[in-house]
Amino acid sequence: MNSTFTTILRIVLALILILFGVNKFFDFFPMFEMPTAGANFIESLNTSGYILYVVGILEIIIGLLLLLKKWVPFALILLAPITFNILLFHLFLDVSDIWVAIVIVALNTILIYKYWKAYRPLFQ
Amino acid sequence: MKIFHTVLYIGLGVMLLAFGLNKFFWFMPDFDFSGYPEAAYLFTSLRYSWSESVGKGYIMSLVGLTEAFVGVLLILRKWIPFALVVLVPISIHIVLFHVFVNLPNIGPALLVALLNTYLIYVHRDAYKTLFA
Repeated sequence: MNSTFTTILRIVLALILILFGVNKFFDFFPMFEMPTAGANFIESLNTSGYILYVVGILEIIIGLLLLLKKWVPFALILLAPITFNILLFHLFLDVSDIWVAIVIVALNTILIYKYWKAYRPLFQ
Repeated sequence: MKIFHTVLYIGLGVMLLAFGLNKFFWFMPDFDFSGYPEAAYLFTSLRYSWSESVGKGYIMSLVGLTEAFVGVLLILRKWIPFALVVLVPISIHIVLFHVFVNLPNIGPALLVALLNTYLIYVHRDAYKTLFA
């Protein structure tokens, strides 16, 4: 759980999440060019008035927890549904930008695997 | 207390299984969203997101599958702490959906969220290692 490799992955994931989280509020880097279906989907999430902000806040909280190495197993499980939806969104609606999703999925999965001991009690 | 909890697991499980399957077979009547254009827009665009005019959507099927999966785990009383934690994002979002865009129909959402919260509290020991 404390190897240099794990530490690097944890900090990289934390920085990516904080960047994407903050971007949902300030839009400092441009969105991907998306196909119509993907753009429509994001548009309907925008119309809800809250979904993208909830995701943004969660990404920032998870990023900070990972950066500070606080409650890491909790942070990783909190991230799992977001990761899963990033993957499915790109798989179904915007496949050309799927590399971002794959990076997040890989980091989240490897880190959960490294901390697997903490999740054992959930399956008893 | 044990019987009470068994009733809660099975009650919540059956409810989730029904709501989950409904997202594929649509055997229950939809909520009446008249007067709530954002709710109607969001719900319809997600519900029909798989249909050709919109493209290959996935959200409703994902939520439906997850609800059915959690429901079955709860009915069988297998991996209960895991089932409850998988349900959390869904509970939060059904409550937020109704709070932000469709307040009058918040009843079932609150019921699911309350049961989810209470049962997680009952199993709080299983989650301790996550906060180490």
